[in-house]
Amino acid sequence: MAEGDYSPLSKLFQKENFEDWSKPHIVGATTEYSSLLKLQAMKEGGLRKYGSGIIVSVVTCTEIKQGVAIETGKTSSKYFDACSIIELHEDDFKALGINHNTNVRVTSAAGSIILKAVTTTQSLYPGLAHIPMGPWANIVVPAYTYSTGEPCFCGFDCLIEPAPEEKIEKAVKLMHEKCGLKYVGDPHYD
Amino acid sequence: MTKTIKNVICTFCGTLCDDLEVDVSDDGKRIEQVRNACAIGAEKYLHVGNPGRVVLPRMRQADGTYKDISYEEAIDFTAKTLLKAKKPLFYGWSSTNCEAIAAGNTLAEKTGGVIDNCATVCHGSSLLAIQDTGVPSCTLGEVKNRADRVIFWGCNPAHAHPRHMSRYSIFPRGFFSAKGQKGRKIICVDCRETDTAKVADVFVRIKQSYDYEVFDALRTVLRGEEIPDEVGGVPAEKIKEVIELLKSGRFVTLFFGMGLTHTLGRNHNIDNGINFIRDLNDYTKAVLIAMRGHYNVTGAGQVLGWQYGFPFACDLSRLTMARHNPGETTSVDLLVRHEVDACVVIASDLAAHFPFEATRVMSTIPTITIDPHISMSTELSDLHIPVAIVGVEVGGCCYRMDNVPIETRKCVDAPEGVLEDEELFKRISARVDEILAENGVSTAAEYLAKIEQET
Repeated sequence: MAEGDYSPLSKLFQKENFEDWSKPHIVGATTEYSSLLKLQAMKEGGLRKYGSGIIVSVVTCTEIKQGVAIETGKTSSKYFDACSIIELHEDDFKALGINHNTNVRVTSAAGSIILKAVTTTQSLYPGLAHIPMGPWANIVVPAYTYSTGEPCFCGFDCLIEPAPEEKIEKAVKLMHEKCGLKYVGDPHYD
Repeated sequence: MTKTIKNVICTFCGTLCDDLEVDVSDDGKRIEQVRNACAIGAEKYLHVGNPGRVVLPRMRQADGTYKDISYEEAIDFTAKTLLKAKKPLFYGWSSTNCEAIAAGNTLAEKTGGVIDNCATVCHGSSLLAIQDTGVPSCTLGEVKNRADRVIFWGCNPAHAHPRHMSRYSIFPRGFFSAKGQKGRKIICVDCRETDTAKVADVFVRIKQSYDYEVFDALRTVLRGEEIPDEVGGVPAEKIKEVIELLKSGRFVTLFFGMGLTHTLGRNHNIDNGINFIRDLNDYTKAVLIAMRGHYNVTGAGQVLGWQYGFPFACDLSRLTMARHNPGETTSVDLLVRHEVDACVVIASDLAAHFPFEATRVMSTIPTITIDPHISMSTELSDLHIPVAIVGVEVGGCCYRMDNVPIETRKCVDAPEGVLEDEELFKRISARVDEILAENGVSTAAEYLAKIEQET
């Protein structure tokens, strides 16, 4: 990821050795104060707001729209619409000062991604956000598994910042660019 | 004139609904209509005939484009890649049949690979807890016929297993549950008020990642001890209400999902959940069932279990013994630590469902994806081998989420020339044997030693 892709807060996340960031609690134990713990402290101290953004706990779960779209095809626009979103509580929309369906930048210890902030019928509480499982969500999912094999798909902290001018990348292009592979267009379907 | 095939098994989720009706065209090549399926199941069957189906293996070129190659070339490339690798990873298996899994495991054993299935990022923690604690469980038929108290904890069947509630857990009338939904009390525990929570009698909203504490509080109240006024965002009165409701039931079933296994605590959450159910058995009959996602992720664990003794993350790289050490032999850890040097993704989509750091490593090593459709993994792989779709174009044994084996059915013919998973693995195995014989060696380790000596 290019350096300019990072938000101001994500400078806190920048670390020479990425692997440290996939092991947040080890970093916390061995360094003075990891950015992840700083986020946690700010959250617990009631300081959820940071600059133009807010800090939320994110869960990634299966959705029926996502399930249908998987069967339609992962390069389909249905899959893009179902998975490149983040569901927020109404209070969090107010805290961010944005309307529904505005693009936001979501930054975690693992990475940063542009998603569309939407409202949901499956209610959340303020400070809890949901991203449907998929390649977009996995950009920000920390890979540390606590020796069980299961990464932190649920309950990791993210900074959400308004990014109305930014564009959401399509899945294949996103993956190719982030993996450093040459993108030559989407195959089939779309 | 269409032909109707009845009692088709839906191969989407772990519920494995067995009452689908599929209308196929006269020539047996096209699916015209699907009845009784959920939105996802219907899409699965109906999109089979969509344009753009890949019917030949595709090899990635230096310029990023893909070139069609023959199955023989693809099999040869796969066999050579696996033999050249010191520790190849075989990940996936959840969306294919048990016959293919057994054939694939044989190939992994020959080439000294690590076999892992989707449980590693799904219910692997549950399997760890079950190994530690045991599991009081039952079949979904028993739930339908007996359950009068049903708990959904950290799962959302309304979205992930759409017909689970109507076939087994909430609405159906059974032998001892003749009143159906009216005779059942449904409790939903989640941090989100999901669509499942909306049909529950009692919704317990807990703070994200406080599942262990809430299980503890429930067990404490069940044993007649006092708890704080609030635990994990749940008032003490609510916890006591839930306990009274459960104690008054004749048959309690706890369905749990990835809300428990993906969150802080992981296997310890399940451990506590199992102990809670064990404690409840002092008062009434109580069981629990994991809400397995892919239709044959349970089968992948079963086959690995009876072949090597471990349900997932099985390391065969020592060639003489199987090892299972979660955190070391699990796919995400292996990839993030760069410990595998080739990857075969079968009937699953690693790139769409692993944290990106693991996916990025996958894209840097030789990767072969075996999948009927285009997916994120196929687009990051060196080789994509298309296969027939299990449950639609080929039958085979699959295990439902309650560990009941069900024989799936073929509805239509696969496109001409497209191989089945099982046949493909057998042919790759045969090619591996040929290469070993050509080099005058009998094992993958000897082959590697010979190659290293020559270079």
